[in-house]
Amino acid sequence: MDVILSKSEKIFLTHGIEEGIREDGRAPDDYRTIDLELSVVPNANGSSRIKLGNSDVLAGVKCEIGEPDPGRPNEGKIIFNVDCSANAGTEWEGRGGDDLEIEISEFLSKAYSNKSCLDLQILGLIPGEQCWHLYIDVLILRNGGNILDAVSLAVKSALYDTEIPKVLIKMSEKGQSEVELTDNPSDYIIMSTENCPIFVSICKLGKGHVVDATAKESACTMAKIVSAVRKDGMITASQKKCSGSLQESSVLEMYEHCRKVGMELNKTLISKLSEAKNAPIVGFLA
Amino acid sequence: MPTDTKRLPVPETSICPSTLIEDISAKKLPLISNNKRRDDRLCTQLRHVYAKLKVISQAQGSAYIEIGNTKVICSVYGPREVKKRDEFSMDGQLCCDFKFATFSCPQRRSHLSDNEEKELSQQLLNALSPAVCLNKFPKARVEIFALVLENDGSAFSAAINCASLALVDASIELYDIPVAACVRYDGVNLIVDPQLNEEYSHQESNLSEENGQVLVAYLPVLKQISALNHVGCLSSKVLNQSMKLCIEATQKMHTIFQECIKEKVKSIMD
Repeated sequence: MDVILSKSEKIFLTHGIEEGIREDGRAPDDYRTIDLELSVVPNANGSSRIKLGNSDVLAGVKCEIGEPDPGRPNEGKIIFNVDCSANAGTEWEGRGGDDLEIEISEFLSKAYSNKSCLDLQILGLIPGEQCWHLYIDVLILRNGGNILDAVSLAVKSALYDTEIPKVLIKMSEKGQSEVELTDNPSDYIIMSTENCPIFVSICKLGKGHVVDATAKESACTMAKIVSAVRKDGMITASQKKCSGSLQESSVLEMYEHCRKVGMELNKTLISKLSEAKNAPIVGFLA
Repeated sequence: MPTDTKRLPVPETSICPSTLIEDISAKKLPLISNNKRRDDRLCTQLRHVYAKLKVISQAQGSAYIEIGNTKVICSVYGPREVKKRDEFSMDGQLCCDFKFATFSCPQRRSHLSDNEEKELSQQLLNALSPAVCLNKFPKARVEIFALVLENDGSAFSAAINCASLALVDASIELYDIPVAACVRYDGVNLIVDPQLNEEYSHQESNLSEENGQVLVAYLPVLKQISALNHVGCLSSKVLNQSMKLCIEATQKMHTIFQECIKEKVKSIMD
């Protein structure tokens, strides 16, 4: 939700950050606690729910069989869709969330467009005819600041949780290939999500910068840099957002910061994912 | 997706034949051979630039720019009064619309804005707004329309350049003129101002691991970066290098634009 702050409140927050003090007692490069749950949506092939402080994001992956792109007959497709639920605030009612939805889904597809992130060859079935389409749908339930990072965490976790049914390809009598599902429901393939990037947004407030800004801190932000960081520190996409401009030296500093924090966050997420895999599903009543 | 039935649409299932040709011969060539690029340019050489102000008479300001074969036209309307009361603000507002003409790319574009165009409109806004004195036109709005007529690479950076020239032509007060440039990295070389067959696309099959493209919009007098955007897998070291190259290129462009603006002012004075 958009927070409205007075000028003096903004100055108070900014001065604090310049001295390395944040309103909730975190250090400048600390993330809020991440609550993660896998397989929360039984009808999806993979799903996850992430709570990053007050932000709440639900992601689901559905697999469908469709046609591959003519230019890439051996590969499957991934399609991102982001939905800002009007439950999260009245400003997202109707078409209100459109801009944010497009911004996030375009950045997701940019960050995942690199070949090294996901092996799309696994999703190919019959070259030129059929392949898996992975629909990755993200639902934003609550915006408590830093929604982009939360979305990327949810997407990576949902992909980690995704089980794609194994199919057999048979030749029919007419000489055409056909796709057939195996009888065993526990027969599935899992994609490697090791190289999937996660986003790190770094906000510039005054002379200081912080990661994982809360809604209040976002309201004071003049400029921010979002980068998609892989676990080995490579950056697969980045962008400057908001209406302010930045000095070259501070951009370099922020990139370095992003890289370090991103690698750390990747590690944290991977350990959390293996924990969550075996944890009991609590669902929405938690 | 609602479609406009009054226009003649192409069949929904049609595809561009060029996508079916697997190895487009130009794409197979290395980006650099004998220190020359595919169009005989050097690595850091820009294409020829042609810019003209005041090309649309009914707009407050307009500009046309050619960078090699990339052609962009841009018009600025306003400042106009904001009608709706809930859009009232003490700072002026900018509204950007970025569009590829349907015939501008090898593949036909739809006449309705797709997600990429909507996102680029937002980026255009972010690139321009640090440079505009918004406090000079409270309660009013300036509208900027950028249209790519021909896309031969680096179209978005050309659009930023064109939009800032159009803002100058519209006599909107600016802190500085945002100038943008692109740099492509292919794993070995950094090349400035890539044309269409040099641009990064994730569809190419023979890519090395580290590969990508960086766009920077720079305010040369204030020495500030107003837009930054990169795609493709890059390490932070290469990112730094390409940013520096982009900034160098924008400074060259800036001198060209200054000349162009000077000429326009001279013609008004005479």
